[in-house]
Amino acid sequence: MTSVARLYAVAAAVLVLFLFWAFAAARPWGDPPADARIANLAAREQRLRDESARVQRLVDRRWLVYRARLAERRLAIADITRQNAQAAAAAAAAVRSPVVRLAPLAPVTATRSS
Amino acid sequence: MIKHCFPAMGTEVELLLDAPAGEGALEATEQEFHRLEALLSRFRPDSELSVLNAAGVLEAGPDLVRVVALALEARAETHGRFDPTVHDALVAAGYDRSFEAVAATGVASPSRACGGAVRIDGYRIELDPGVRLDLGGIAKGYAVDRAAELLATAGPCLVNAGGDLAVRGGAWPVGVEHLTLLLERGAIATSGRDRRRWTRDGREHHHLIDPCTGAPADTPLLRATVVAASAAEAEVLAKAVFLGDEEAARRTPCVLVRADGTVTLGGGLS
Repeated sequence: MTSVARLYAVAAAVLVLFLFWAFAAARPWGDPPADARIANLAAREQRLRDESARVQRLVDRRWLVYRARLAERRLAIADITRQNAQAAAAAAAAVRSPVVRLAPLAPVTATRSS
Repeated sequence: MIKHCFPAMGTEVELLLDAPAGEGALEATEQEFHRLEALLSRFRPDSELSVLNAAGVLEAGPDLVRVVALALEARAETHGRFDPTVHDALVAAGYDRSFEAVAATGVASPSRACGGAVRIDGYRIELDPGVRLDLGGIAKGYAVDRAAELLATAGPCLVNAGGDLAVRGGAWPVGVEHLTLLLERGAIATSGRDRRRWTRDGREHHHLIDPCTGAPADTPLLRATVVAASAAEAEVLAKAVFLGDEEAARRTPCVLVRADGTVTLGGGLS
């Protein structure tokens, strides 16, 4: 091997070593460095999730109260409706019922077997 | 007081109107009676009822539909004591033409069973094969109610169709046996076997058929007079009480006359 060839070989070895060092220094297999904006977004998302859960619990509580009051109200309306229906039926029956009594009067007409 | 009388539905109809004038209403009321008779009489071959009985099915007018519906309700409420399907039983008993033309004597025919389905779908009435309807009493009650409504437009009134009567407005003294009932609202009807009688094979028959036997009813009562909200209802209840509906007699104001002439008041009437 000539001295020129040896020189080229050494230069190529130095180049390969440099490339290897650059690759190792870049650490492509490790975690990427944390991005502050992403961290902020994650924190904000967590806050929103917590707040949403609080609102949902509040809504659930209010919904339960509303349902209970609605049920009470419906019972009250049903009671009133039933009372009204009974009153109307009684009034209708009173109107429909015949009104008759014995009286010491001369009849204007008479009933007989038809 | 205006009084107007005319014959209709095989009896004498009496209209009493407590108003200074009302000839127009009286005339309209009489026409209404004749119109309903033309629709509901089983003795007129061209009546809707006769056409229904002949064909077994009919797209009927509102009056026939209403009366048939009332009759079916009455059949259910009286547990069959009132039944509009007595037509053939009446004919078998001898009442096969208007009463004036019924022979006073003759040969008896075997009694005919009552019952059978009657279906109403809108204005369509359909009878089971062999079923024919007689709406005599309830049709007269319906006509009395309609007439009273019509006449009431002219003033307080009373409509009496051969003992089935209804009042609108005022208080009307009505003779029942030796008593007087002051009727302020409602109607009165009397069912009895003391009229519309004839003889077959020497045995007395009458027009009140017991649907259970298909023969003229055999009861200890001679007449039953009932007070109810409407003449149609009174007619049904009078028939039911006559046929022994004691519950109806307890809850409905009534005057019962037994064959021996004993008069009993019921339904709180005293």
